[in-house]
Amino acid sequence: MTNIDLIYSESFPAKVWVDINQPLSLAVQTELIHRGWKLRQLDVCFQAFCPATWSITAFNEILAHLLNDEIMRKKIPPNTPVLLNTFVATSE
Amino acid sequence: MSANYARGELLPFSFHRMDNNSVVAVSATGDYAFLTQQELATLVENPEKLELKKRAELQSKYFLKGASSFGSEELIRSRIAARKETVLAGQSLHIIVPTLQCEHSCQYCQVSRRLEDVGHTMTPTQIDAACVTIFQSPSSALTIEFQGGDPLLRFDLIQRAINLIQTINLVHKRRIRFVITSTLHQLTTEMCEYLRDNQVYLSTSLDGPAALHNKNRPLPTRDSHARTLSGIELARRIIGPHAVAALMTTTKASLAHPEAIVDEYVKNGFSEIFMRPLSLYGFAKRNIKHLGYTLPEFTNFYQKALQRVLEWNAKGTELREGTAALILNKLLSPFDAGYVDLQSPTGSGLAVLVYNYDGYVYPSDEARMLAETGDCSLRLGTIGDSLAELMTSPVMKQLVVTSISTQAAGCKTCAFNSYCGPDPVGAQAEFGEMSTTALLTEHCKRHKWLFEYFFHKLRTADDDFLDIAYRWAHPSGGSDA
Repeated sequence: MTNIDLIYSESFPAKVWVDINQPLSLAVQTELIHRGWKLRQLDVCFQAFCPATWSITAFNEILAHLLNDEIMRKKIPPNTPVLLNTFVATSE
Repeated sequence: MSANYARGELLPFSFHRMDNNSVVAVSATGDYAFLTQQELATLVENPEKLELKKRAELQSKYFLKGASSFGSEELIRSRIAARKETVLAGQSLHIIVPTLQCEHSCQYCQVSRRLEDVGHTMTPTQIDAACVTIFQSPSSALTIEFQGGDPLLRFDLIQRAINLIQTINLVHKRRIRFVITSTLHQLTTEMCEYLRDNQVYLSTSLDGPAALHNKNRPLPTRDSHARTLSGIELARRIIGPHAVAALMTTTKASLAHPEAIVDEYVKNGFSEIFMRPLSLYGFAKRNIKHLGYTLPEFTNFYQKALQRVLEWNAKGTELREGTAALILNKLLSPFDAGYVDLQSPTGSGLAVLVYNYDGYVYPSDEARMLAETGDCSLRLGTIGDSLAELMTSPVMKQLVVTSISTQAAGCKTCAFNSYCGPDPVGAQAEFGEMSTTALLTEHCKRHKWLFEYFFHKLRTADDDFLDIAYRWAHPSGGSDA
Protein backbone atom coordinates (compact mmCIF):
# COMPACT_ATOMS: atom_id res chain seq x y z
CA MET A 1 0.00 0.00 0.00
CA THR A 2 1.33 3.41 -0.90
CA ASN A 3 2.14 5.79 1.89
CA ILE A 4 -0.51 8.43 1.44
CA ASP A 5 1.81 11.06 2.88
CA LEU A 6 3.66 10.95 -0.42
CA ILE A 7 0.55 12.23 -2.16
CA TYR A 8 -0.56 14.87 0.31
CA SER A 9 2.16 15.68 2.72
CA GLU A 10 0.67 18.47 4.78
CA SER A 11 -0.17 17.47 8.31
CA PHE A 12 -3.70 18.50 9.14
CA PRO A 13 -5.04 19.14 12.64
CA ALA A 14 -7.43 16.27 13.20
CA LYS A 15 -10.92 17.04 14.39
CA VAL A 16 -12.87 14.05 13.19
CA TRP A 17 -11.08 11.21 11.50
CA VAL A 18 -13.48 8.61 10.17
CA ASP A 19 -12.33 5.01 9.76
CA ILE A 20 -12.56 3.44 6.32
CA ASN A 21 -13.07 -0.20 7.03
CA GLN A 22 -12.00 -1.60 3.69
CA PRO A 23 -8.94 -1.56 1.48
CA LEU A 24 -8.69 1.32 -0.99
CA SER A 25 -6.95 1.05 -4.34
CA LEU A 26 -4.43 3.73 -5.23
CA ALA A 27 -6.91 5.03 -7.83
CA VAL A 28 -9.63 5.53 -5.21
CA GLN A 29 -7.18 7.13 -2.77
CA THR A 30 -6.03 9.65 -5.34
CA GLU A 31 -9.57 10.28 -6.54
CA LEU A 32 -10.70 11.14 -3.01
CA ILE A 33 -7.72 13.46 -2.57
CA HIS A 34 -8.41 14.99 -5.99
CA ARG A 35 -11.90 15.80 -4.70
CA GLY A 36 -10.51 17.64 -1.70
CA TRP A 37 -10.70 14.98 1.01
CA LYS A 38 -7.82 14.48 3.43
CA LEU A 39 -6.75 10.90 4.03
CA ARG A 40 -4.27 9.37 6.38
CA GLN A 41 -3.03 5.85 6.76
CA LEU A 42 -2.77 4.02 10.07
CA ASP A 43 -1.16 0.62 9.55
CA VAL A 44 -3.37 -0.98 6.87
CA CYS A 45 -6.42 1.16 7.63
CA PHE A 46 -7.28 4.54 6.15
CA GLN A 47 -9.03 7.42 7.81
CA ALA A 48 -10.74 10.41 6.21
CA PHE A 49 -10.92 13.85 7.74
CA CYS A 50 -14.55 14.87 8.16
CA PRO A 51 -14.92 18.03 10.28
CA ALA A 52 -18.71 17.86 10.59
CA THR A 53 -21.57 15.37 10.56
CA TRP A 54 -22.73 16.45 7.12
CA SER A 55 -19.27 15.86 5.74
CA ILE A 56 -19.25 12.28 7.07
CA THR A 57 -22.42 11.66 5.05
CA ALA A 58 -20.95 13.35 1.97
CA PHE A 59 -17.74 11.38 2.29
CA ASN A 60 -19.55 8.07 2.64
CA GLU A 61 -21.67 8.86 -0.42
CA ILE A 62 -18.73 9.64 -2.67
CA LEU A 63 -16.70 6.72 -1.35
CA ALA A 64 -19.59 4.35 -2.07
CA HIS A 65 -19.85 5.73 -5.62
CA LEU A 66 -16.13 5.41 -6.26
CA LEU A 67 -16.04 1.84 -4.99
CA ASN A 68 -19.07 0.94 -7.14
CA ASP A 69 -17.40 2.63 -10.10
CA GLU A 70 -14.42 0.31 -9.72
CA ILE A 71 -16.73 -2.71 -9.91
CA MET A 72 -18.52 -1.21 -12.94
CA ARG A 73 -15.25 -0.65 -14.79
CA LYS A 74 -14.44 -4.35 -14.64
CA LYS A 75 -17.51 -5.04 -16.80
CA ILE A 76 -16.33 -2.72 -19.60
CA PRO A 77 -14.07 -4.18 -22.31
CA PRO A 78 -10.47 -2.90 -22.07
CA ASN A 79 -9.10 -0.57 -24.71
CA THR A 80 -7.06 -3.19 -26.55
CA PRO A 81 -6.83 -1.30 -29.87
CA VAL A 82 -3.93 0.70 -28.35
CA LEU A 83 -1.05 -1.73 -28.14
CA LEU A 84 2.44 -1.06 -26.89
CA ASN A 85 4.14 -2.93 -29.72
CA THR A 86 2.52 -0.59 -32.25
CA PHE A 87 4.66 2.22 -30.94
CA VAL A 88 7.82 0.32 -30.13
CA ALA A 89 7.88 -1.01 -33.67
CA THR A 90 7.30 2.49 -35.04
CA SER A 91 10.13 3.96 -33.03
CA GLU A 92 12.53 1.51 -34.55
CA MET B 1 -8.58 -7.93 -30.40
CA SER B 2 -10.02 -9.45 -27.22
CA ALA B 3 -12.85 -11.96 -27.29
CA ASN B 4 -15.06 -9.58 -25.23
CA TYR B 5 -14.57 -6.83 -27.73
CA ALA B 6 -15.53 -8.96 -30.69
CA ARG B 7 -18.50 -10.66 -29.02
CA GLY B 8 -20.32 -7.92 -27.15
CA GLU B 9 -22.03 -4.76 -28.28
CA LEU B 10 -20.29 -2.68 -25.68
CA LEU B 11 -17.08 -1.04 -26.92
CA PRO B 12 -14.14 -0.01 -24.71
CA PHE B 13 -14.70 3.19 -22.77
CA SER B 14 -13.88 4.81 -19.43
CA PHE B 15 -15.78 7.18 -17.21
CA HIS B 16 -15.11 9.88 -14.61
CA ARG B 17 -17.53 10.75 -11.85
CA MET B 18 -18.74 14.36 -12.10
CA ASP B 19 -20.99 14.19 -9.00
CA ASN B 20 -23.11 11.69 -7.11
CA ASN B 21 -25.56 11.27 -9.96
CA SER B 22 -23.60 11.74 -13.15
CA VAL B 23 -20.42 10.82 -14.98
CA VAL B 24 -18.63 11.85 -18.14
CA ALA B 25 -17.90 8.78 -20.25
CA VAL B 26 -15.15 8.83 -22.87
CA SER B 27 -14.89 6.26 -25.66
CA ALA B 28 -11.65 4.86 -27.09
CA THR B 29 -11.90 7.42 -29.88
CA GLY B 30 -12.05 10.33 -27.42
CA ASP B 31 -15.74 11.09 -27.98
CA TYR B 32 -17.56 11.92 -24.76
CA ALA B 33 -21.08 11.76 -23.34
CA PHE B 34 -22.54 12.96 -20.05
CA LEU B 35 -24.54 10.13 -18.47
CA THR B 36 -26.72 9.86 -15.41
CA GLN B 37 -25.94 7.10 -12.95
CA GLN B 38 -28.91 5.15 -14.29
CA GLU B 39 -27.81 5.59 -17.91
CA LEU B 40 -24.30 4.40 -17.06
CA ALA B 41 -25.63 1.29 -15.34
CA THR B 42 -27.98 0.54 -18.24
CA LEU B 43 -25.21 1.09 -20.80
CA VAL B 44 -22.96 -1.40 -19.05
CA GLU B 45 -25.57 -4.00 -18.01
CA ASN B 46 -28.32 -3.83 -20.65
CA PRO B 47 -27.48 -1.41 -23.45
CA GLU B 48 -30.45 -2.59 -25.52
CA LYS B 49 -32.72 -1.05 -22.85
CA LEU B 50 -31.40 2.47 -23.40
CA GLU B 51 -33.87 4.81 -25.05
CA LEU B 52 -33.39 4.93 -28.80
CA LYS B 53 -32.09 8.51 -28.94
CA LYS B 54 -29.43 7.88 -26.25
CA ARG B 55 -28.48 4.61 -27.88
CA ALA B 56 -28.03 6.33 -31.23
CA GLU B 57 -25.86 9.01 -29.60
CA LEU B 58 -23.67 6.42 -27.90
CA GLN B 59 -23.40 4.36 -31.08
CA SER B 60 -22.28 7.40 -33.06
CA LYS B 61 -19.65 8.11 -30.40
CA TYR B 62 -18.26 4.56 -30.39
CA PHE B 63 -19.56 3.40 -27.01
CA LEU B 64 -21.76 0.77 -28.66
CA LYS B 65 -21.54 -1.31 -31.77
CA GLY B 66 -24.72 -1.78 -33.80
CA ALA B 67 -25.70 -5.25 -34.93
CA SER B 68 -24.76 -4.43 -38.51
CA SER B 69 -21.82 -2.09 -37.78
CA PHE B 70 -19.18 -4.36 -39.27
CA GLY B 71 -16.65 -1.56 -39.79
CA SER B 72 -16.77 -0.11 -36.27
CA GLU B 73 -13.52 -1.65 -35.12
CA GLU B 74 -11.61 -0.37 -38.14
CA LEU B 75 -13.16 3.07 -37.71
CA ILE B 76 -12.06 3.12 -34.07
CA ARG B 77 -8.53 2.18 -35.06
CA SER B 78 -8.56 4.87 -37.71
CA ARG B 79 -9.75 7.52 -35.24
CA ILE B 80 -7.09 6.48 -32.72
CA ALA B 81 -4.42 6.57 -35.42
CA ALA B 82 -5.50 10.10 -36.40
CA ARG B 83 -5.09 11.25 -32.79
CA LYS B 84 -1.69 9.58 -32.53
CA GLU B 85 -0.38 11.08 -35.76
CA THR B 86 1.61 13.69 -33.84
CA VAL B 87 3.82 10.97 -32.34
CA LEU B 88 3.74 8.53 -35.24
CA ALA B 89 4.61 10.90 -38.08
CA GLY B 90 8.13 11.66 -36.91
CA GLN B 91 9.85 14.39 -34.92
CA SER B 92 8.39 17.72 -36.01
CA LEU B 93 9.88 19.99 -33.33
CA HIS B 94 13.66 20.30 -33.20
CA ILE B 95 15.05 22.54 -30.48
CA ILE B 96 18.58 23.84 -30.84
CA VAL B 97 20.22 25.39 -27.76
CA PRO B 98 23.17 27.35 -29.16
CA THR B 99 24.13 28.88 -25.80
CA LEU B 100 23.13 28.96 -22.14
CA GLN B 101 24.29 32.52 -21.70
CA CYS B 102 21.67 35.05 -20.66
CA GLU B 103 21.58 38.51 -19.13
CA HIS B 104 18.87 37.63 -16.62
CA SER B 105 19.29 35.91 -13.29
CA CYS B 106 15.74 34.62 -12.81
CA GLN B 107 15.27 32.67 -9.58
CA TYR B 108 13.20 29.97 -11.24
CA CYS B 109 15.32 29.57 -14.35
CA GLN B 110 16.87 26.16 -14.63
CA VAL B 111 19.57 26.69 -17.13
CA SER B 112 20.95 30.10 -17.85
CA ARG B 113 24.55 31.18 -17.35
CA ARG B 114 25.82 34.71 -16.99
CA LEU B 115 27.31 36.55 -19.95
CA GLU B 116 30.84 36.27 -18.64
CA ASP B 117 30.61 32.47 -18.25
CA VAL B 118 32.33 30.58 -21.03
CA GLY B 119 32.04 27.03 -22.27
CA HIS B 120 28.26 26.97 -22.49
CA THR B 121 27.98 27.35 -26.25
CA MET B 122 27.68 24.93 -29.21
CA THR B 123 30.48 24.64 -31.74
CA PRO B 124 29.78 25.33 -35.45
CA THR B 125 30.48 21.64 -36.13
CA GLN B 126 27.77 20.62 -33.67
CA ILE B 127 25.33 23.05 -35.30
CA ASP B 128 26.01 21.48 -38.71
CA ALA B 129 25.60 17.93 -37.37
CA ALA B 130 22.28 18.80 -35.69
CA CYS B 131 20.95 20.21 -38.98
CA VAL B 132 21.78 16.96 -40.78
CA THR B 133 19.96 14.86 -38.12
CA ILE B 134 16.88 17.08 -38.34
CA PHE B 135 16.31 16.00 -41.94
CA GLN B 136 16.43 12.31 -40.97
CA SER B 137 13.01 12.82 -39.39
CA PRO B 138 10.25 11.66 -41.76
CA SER B 139 8.00 14.55 -40.71
CA SER B 140 6.85 16.65 -43.66
CA ALA B 141 6.63 19.76 -41.48
CA LEU B 142 9.58 20.77 -39.33
CA THR B 143 9.71 23.49 -36.70
CA ILE B 144 13.21 24.50 -35.70
CA GLU B 145 13.22 26.41 -32.44
CA PHE B 146 16.26 28.16 -30.98
CA GLN B 147 16.31 28.33 -27.19
CA GLY B 148 18.80 29.23 -24.51
CA GLY B 149 19.89 30.98 -22.39
CA ASP B 150 19.23 33.78 -24.78
CA PRO B 151 20.03 32.46 -28.26
CA LEU B 152 20.23 35.96 -29.74
CA LEU B 153 23.55 36.29 -27.89
CA ARG B 154 24.91 33.86 -30.49
CA PHE B 155 23.06 35.11 -33.56
CA ASP B 156 25.99 33.93 -35.68
CA LEU B 157 25.16 30.32 -34.80
CA ILE B 158 21.45 30.87 -35.48
CA GLN B 159 22.24 32.26 -38.93
CA ARG B 160 24.56 29.35 -39.63
CA ALA B 161 21.80 26.85 -38.77
CA ILE B 162 19.07 28.64 -40.71
CA ASN B 163 21.25 29.03 -43.81
CA LEU B 164 22.31 25.38 -43.73
CA ILE B 165 18.77 24.08 -43.15
CA GLN B 166 17.46 26.12 -46.06
CA THR B 167 20.22 24.81 -48.30
CA ILE B 168 19.53 21.19 -47.35
CA ASN B 169 15.82 21.79 -47.81
CA LEU B 170 16.29 22.67 -51.47
CA VAL B 171 16.51 18.90 -51.91
CA HIS B 172 14.12 17.71 -49.16
CA LYS B 173 11.38 20.31 -49.74
CA ARG B 174 9.87 20.10 -46.24
CA ARG B 175 7.63 22.78 -44.76
CA ILE B 176 10.00 24.61 -42.41
CA ARG B 177 9.18 27.05 -39.65
CA PHE B 178 11.81 28.83 -37.56
CA VAL B 179 11.18 30.21 -34.07
CA ILE B 180 13.60 31.99 -31.73
CA THR B 181 12.76 32.10 -28.03
CA SER B 182 14.41 35.14 -26.53
CA THR B 183 14.12 38.04 -24.10
CA LEU B 184 14.47 40.22 -27.25
CA HIS B 185 16.84 42.50 -25.34
CA GLN B 186 19.62 41.85 -27.85
CA LEU B 187 17.41 42.30 -30.93
CA THR B 188 18.71 44.78 -33.52
CA THR B 189 17.37 46.20 -36.75
CA GLU B 190 19.85 44.11 -38.75
CA MET B 191 18.71 40.94 -36.99
CA CYS B 192 15.07 41.78 -37.69
CA GLU B 193 15.79 42.29 -41.40
CA TYR B 194 17.44 38.87 -41.57
CA LEU B 195 14.54 37.27 -39.63
CA ARG B 196 11.99 38.94 -41.92
CA ASP B 197 13.80 37.77 -45.05
CA ASN B 198 13.95 34.19 -43.73
CA GLN B 199 10.44 34.05 -42.22
CA VAL B 200 11.63 33.52 -38.66
CA TYR B 201 9.17 34.10 -35.80
CA LEU B 202 9.99 35.22 -32.29
CA SER B 203 8.70 33.95 -28.97
CA THR B 204 9.29 35.86 -25.77
CA SER B 205 8.29 35.93 -22.12
CA LEU B 206 5.93 38.53 -20.78
CA ASP B 207 4.97 37.75 -17.20
CA GLY B 208 2.61 40.67 -16.69
CA PRO B 209 2.80 44.36 -15.76
CA ALA B 210 6.25 45.93 -15.31
CA ALA B 211 6.55 45.45 -11.54
CA LEU B 212 5.72 41.73 -11.74
CA HIS B 213 7.81 41.06 -14.85
CA ASN B 214 10.83 42.87 -13.41
CA LYS B 215 10.48 40.99 -10.12
CA ASN B 216 10.32 37.64 -11.93
CA ARG B 217 13.09 38.46 -14.41
CA PRO B 218 15.62 40.63 -12.61
CA LEU B 219 18.31 42.68 -14.31
CA PRO B 220 20.78 44.96 -12.55
CA THR B 221 19.16 47.83 -14.47
CA ARG B 222 15.63 46.76 -13.41
CA ASP B 223 14.25 47.45 -16.88
CA SER B 224 13.60 43.95 -18.17
CA HIS B 225 9.93 44.69 -18.97
CA ALA B 226 10.69 47.88 -20.88
CA ARG B 227 13.45 46.23 -22.90
CA THR B 228 11.26 43.28 -23.85
CA LEU B 229 8.48 45.65 -24.96
CA SER B 230 11.03 47.61 -27.05
CA GLY B 231 12.09 44.35 -28.69
CA ILE B 232 8.47 43.44 -29.44
CA GLU B 233 7.86 46.85 -30.99
CA LEU B 234 11.01 46.66 -33.13
CA ALA B 235 10.13 43.15 -34.37
CA ARG B 236 6.56 44.09 -35.23
CA ARG B 237 7.72 47.19 -37.09
CA ILE B 238 10.25 45.40 -39.26
CA ILE B 239 9.12 41.75 -39.45
CA GLY B 240 5.36 42.27 -39.22
CA PRO B 241 2.47 42.59 -36.76
CA HIS B 242 2.38 38.85 -35.97
CA ALA B 243 6.14 38.45 -35.59
CA VAL B 244 6.13 37.84 -31.85
CA ALA B 245 4.24 35.46 -29.57
CA ALA B 246 4.53 35.74 -25.81
CA LEU B 247 4.29 33.28 -22.92
CA MET B 248 3.99 33.89 -19.21
CA THR B 249 5.24 31.85 -16.29
CA THR B 250 3.19 31.83 -13.11
CA THR B 251 5.25 32.45 -10.00
CA LYS B 252 4.04 32.91 -6.44
CA ALA B 253 4.10 36.65 -7.06
CA SER B 254 1.81 36.23 -10.08
CA LEU B 255 -1.00 34.61 -8.10
CA ALA B 256 -2.38 37.93 -6.85
CA HIS B 257 -2.59 39.48 -10.33
CA PRO B 258 -4.58 37.26 -12.73
CA GLU B 259 -6.62 40.11 -14.23
CA ALA B 260 -3.67 42.51 -14.52
CA ILE B 261 -1.61 39.86 -16.35
CA VAL B 262 -4.36 39.26 -18.90
CA ASP B 263 -4.90 43.00 -19.34
CA GLU B 264 -1.17 43.46 -20.00
CA TYR B 265 -1.40 41.11 -22.98
CA VAL B 266 -4.39 42.98 -24.40
CA LYS B 267 -2.68 46.31 -23.82
CA ASN B 268 0.34 45.14 -25.80
CA GLY B 269 -1.67 43.85 -28.75
CA PHE B 270 -1.40 40.08 -28.25
CA SER B 271 -4.22 37.84 -29.39
CA GLU B 272 -2.97 34.84 -27.41
CA ILE B 273 -1.91 34.27 -23.81
CA PHE B 274 -0.68 31.00 -22.34
CA MET B 275 -1.13 30.70 -18.56
CA ARG B 276 1.66 28.30 -17.59
CA PRO B 277 2.43 26.96 -14.14
CA LEU B 278 6.01 26.85 -12.91
CA SER B 279 7.83 23.67 -13.85
CA LEU B 280 9.32 21.60 -11.07
CA TYR B 281 12.69 21.41 -12.74
CA GLY B 282 16.16 22.47 -11.89
CA PHE B 283 16.60 25.69 -10.05
CA ALA B 284 12.84 26.05 -9.71
CA LYS B 285 12.70 22.78 -7.77
CA ARG B 286 15.49 23.89 -5.46
CA ASN B 287 13.65 27.18 -4.77
CA ILE B 288 10.23 25.59 -4.50
CA LYS B 289 9.53 26.83 -0.96
CA HIS B 290 10.27 30.40 -2.01
CA LEU B 291 8.68 30.33 -5.47
CA GLY B 292 6.22 27.44 -5.40
CA TYR B 293 2.50 27.19 -4.74
CA THR B 294 -0.08 24.47 -4.40
CA LEU B 295 -2.29 23.15 -7.18
CA PRO B 296 -5.41 24.77 -5.62
CA GLU B 297 -3.58 28.12 -5.55
CA PHE B 298 -2.74 27.75 -9.25
CA THR B 299 -6.23 26.60 -10.24
CA ASN B 300 -7.80 29.50 -8.37
CA PHE B 301 -5.48 31.89 -10.23
CA TYR B 302 -6.13 30.15 -13.55
CA GLN B 303 -9.92 30.33 -13.25
CA LYS B 304 -9.80 34.07 -12.56
CA ALA B 305 -7.44 34.67 -15.46
CA LEU B 306 -9.57 32.60 -17.84
CA GLN B 307 -12.65 34.50 -16.74
CA ARG B 308 -10.87 37.75 -17.61
CA VAL B 309 -9.92 36.33 -21.03
CA LEU B 310 -13.56 35.43 -21.66
CA GLU B 311 -14.64 38.92 -20.60
CA TRP B 312 -12.30 40.47 -23.18
CA ASN B 313 -13.69 38.16 -25.85
CA ALA B 314 -17.24 39.12 -24.86
CA LYS B 315 -16.27 42.77 -25.36
CA GLY B 316 -15.06 41.97 -28.88
CA THR B 317 -11.31 41.72 -28.23
CA GLU B 318 -10.11 38.38 -29.54
CA LEU B 319 -7.79 36.71 -27.02
CA ARG B 320 -7.06 32.97 -26.95
CA GLU B 321 -5.84 31.24 -23.79
CA GLY B 322 -3.29 28.55 -24.61
CA THR B 323 -3.96 26.02 -21.83
CA ALA B 324 -7.71 26.14 -22.44
CA ALA B 325 -7.11 25.77 -26.18
CA LEU B 326 -4.94 22.68 -25.64
CA ILE B 327 -7.49 20.97 -23.39
CA LEU B 328 -10.44 21.91 -25.61
CA ASN B 329 -8.55 20.61 -28.62
CA LYS B 330 -8.31 17.26 -26.84
CA LEU B 331 -11.99 17.20 -25.91
CA LEU B 332 -13.59 18.64 -29.03
CA SER B 333 -11.38 17.88 -32.02
CA PRO B 334 -10.58 14.54 -33.66
CA PHE B 335 -7.22 16.00 -34.73
CA ASP B 336 -4.55 16.52 -32.11
CA ALA B 337 -2.70 19.84 -31.86
CA GLY B 338 0.44 17.95 -30.82
CA TYR B 339 1.06 19.38 -27.36
CA VAL B 340 4.09 17.36 -26.23
CA ASP B 341 3.07 16.96 -22.57
CA LEU B 342 -0.22 15.26 -23.43
CA GLN B 343 0.84 12.50 -25.81
CA SER B 344 0.78 8.75 -25.42
CA PRO B 345 3.30 7.40 -26.09
CA THR B 346 5.18 10.46 -24.92
CA GLY B 347 6.02 13.21 -27.37
CA SER B 348 9.45 13.45 -25.74
CA GLY B 349 11.78 11.99 -28.34
CA LEU B 350 8.96 10.89 -30.67
CA ALA B 351 7.75 14.39 -31.52
CA VAL B 352 10.58 16.53 -30.12
CA LEU B 353 14.35 16.40 -30.03
CA VAL B 354 16.68 18.85 -28.30
CA TYR B 355 20.22 19.45 -29.56
CA ASN B 356 21.92 20.93 -26.55
CA TYR B 357 24.95 23.22 -26.17
CA ASP B 358 26.68 20.40 -24.20
CA GLY B 359 26.89 18.21 -27.32
CA TYR B 360 24.14 15.80 -26.31
CA VAL B 361 20.66 15.11 -27.69
CA TYR B 362 17.74 15.08 -25.23
CA PRO B 363 14.12 13.98 -25.71
CA SER B 364 12.61 17.27 -24.52
CA ASP B 365 13.31 20.73 -23.21
CA GLU B 366 12.55 19.52 -19.67
CA ALA B 367 15.05 16.66 -20.03
CA ARG B 368 17.89 19.03 -20.86
CA MET B 369 16.88 21.23 -17.94
CA LEU B 370 17.03 18.18 -15.69
CA ALA B 371 20.57 17.55 -16.91
CA GLU B 372 21.57 20.99 -15.60
CA THR B 373 20.71 19.80 -12.09
CA GLY B 374 22.97 16.77 -12.46
CA ASP B 375 20.51 14.12 -13.68
CA CYS B 376 21.82 13.26 -17.15
CA SER B 377 19.97 9.94 -17.32
CA LEU B 378 17.68 11.09 -20.15
CA ARG B 379 20.38 11.68 -22.74
CA LEU B 380 19.51 9.86 -25.97
CA GLY B 381 22.95 10.20 -27.51
CA THR B 382 25.41 12.76 -28.81
CA ILE B 383 24.91 15.35 -31.55
CA GLY B 384 25.98 13.62 -34.75
CA ASP B 385 24.35 10.27 -33.90
CA SER B 386 21.84 9.21 -36.53
CA LEU B 387 18.15 9.49 -35.77
CA ALA B 388 17.91 5.69 -35.92
CA GLU B 389 20.58 5.41 -33.23
CA LEU B 390 18.80 7.96 -31.05
CA MET B 391 15.44 6.22 -31.45
CA THR B 392 16.80 2.80 -30.55
CA SER B 393 18.63 3.99 -27.45
CA PRO B 394 17.61 2.31 -24.16
CA VAL B 395 16.37 5.64 -22.83
CA MET B 396 14.03 6.11 -25.79
CA LYS B 397 12.62 2.62 -25.40
CA GLN B 398 12.02 3.26 -21.71
CA LEU B 399 10.27 6.54 -22.52
CA VAL B 400 7.87 4.73 -24.84
CA VAL B 401 7.24 1.74 -22.58
CA THR B 402 6.40 3.94 -19.58
CA SER B 403 4.03 6.25 -21.45
CA ILE B 404 1.26 4.11 -22.92
CA SER B 405 -1.82 5.53 -21.23
CA THR B 406 -3.99 2.46 -21.78
CA GLN B 407 -1.43 0.23 -20.11
CA ALA B 408 0.29 2.31 -17.42
CA ALA B 409 -0.76 1.60 -13.85
CA GLY B 410 -3.16 4.29 -12.72
CA CYS B 411 -3.88 5.46 -16.28
CA LYS B 412 -5.43 2.25 -17.59
CA THR B 413 -8.88 2.98 -16.19
CA CYS B 414 -8.66 6.78 -16.25
CA ALA B 415 -11.43 8.35 -18.31
CA PHE B 416 -9.02 10.89 -19.73
CA ASN B 417 -6.48 8.42 -21.11
CA SER B 418 -7.56 9.13 -24.71
CA TYR B 419 -6.47 12.72 -24.23
CA CYS B 420 -3.48 12.33 -21.97
CA GLY B 421 -0.46 10.20 -21.21
CA PRO B 422 2.06 9.61 -18.45
CA ASP B 423 4.94 12.08 -18.51
CA PRO B 424 8.07 9.99 -17.88
CA VAL B 425 10.38 13.01 -18.03
CA GLY B 426 8.30 14.79 -15.40
CA ALA B 427 8.23 11.62 -13.28
CA GLN B 428 12.02 11.41 -13.51
CA ALA B 429 12.29 15.03 -12.37
CA GLU B 430 9.81 14.64 -9.53
CA PHE B 431 10.62 11.15 -8.24
CA GLY B 432 13.90 10.18 -9.92
CA GLU B 433 12.17 7.32 -11.72
CA MET B 434 10.50 7.36 -15.14
CA SER B 435 8.10 4.53 -14.30
CA THR B 436 6.60 6.21 -11.21
CA THR B 437 2.85 5.56 -11.05
CA ALA B 438 1.36 8.46 -12.98
CA LEU B 439 -1.37 9.04 -10.39
CA LEU B 440 1.24 10.34 -7.97
CA THR B 441 2.74 12.91 -10.31
CA GLU B 442 2.10 16.62 -10.41
CA HIS B 443 1.46 16.21 -14.16
CA CYS B 444 -1.48 13.88 -13.47
CA LYS B 445 -3.00 16.00 -10.73
CA ARG B 446 -2.87 19.19 -12.77
CA HIS B 447 -4.21 17.71 -15.99
CA LYS B 448 -6.92 15.70 -14.28
CA TRP B 449 -8.10 18.97 -12.74
CA LEU B 450 -8.01 20.68 -16.16
CA PHE B 451 -9.97 17.93 -17.93
CA GLU B 452 -12.58 17.86 -15.18
CA TYR B 453 -12.82 21.65 -15.08
CA PHE B 454 -13.40 21.95 -18.83
CA PHE B 455 -15.91 19.09 -18.84
CA HIS B 456 -17.87 20.99 -16.18
CA LYS B 457 -17.62 24.16 -18.30
CA LEU B 458 -18.83 22.33 -21.40
CA ARG B 459 -21.73 20.70 -19.57
CA THR B 460 -23.06 24.06 -18.41
CA ALA B 461 -21.86 26.14 -21.38
CA ASP B 462 -23.93 28.79 -23.11
CA ASP B 463 -23.69 29.39 -26.85
CA ASP B 464 -21.05 32.11 -26.44
CA PHE B 465 -18.67 29.82 -24.57
CA LEU B 466 -19.31 26.96 -26.98
CA ASP B 467 -18.47 29.24 -29.94
CA ILE B 468 -15.15 30.12 -28.32
CA ALA B 469 -14.47 26.53 -27.23
CA TYR B 470 -14.84 25.11 -30.74
CA ARG B 471 -12.83 27.97 -32.23
CA TRP B 472 -9.96 27.44 -29.79
CA ALA B 473 -10.13 23.65 -30.17
CA HIS B 474 -9.17 23.81 -33.82
CA PRO B 475 -5.48 22.84 -34.14
CA SER B 476 -4.80 25.42 -36.81
CA GLY B 477 -5.73 28.09 -34.27
CA GLY B 478 -2.00 28.05 -33.69
CA SER B 479 -0.19 28.08 -30.39
CA ASP B 480 3.54 28.50 -30.19
CA ALA B 481 3.52 26.75 -26.86
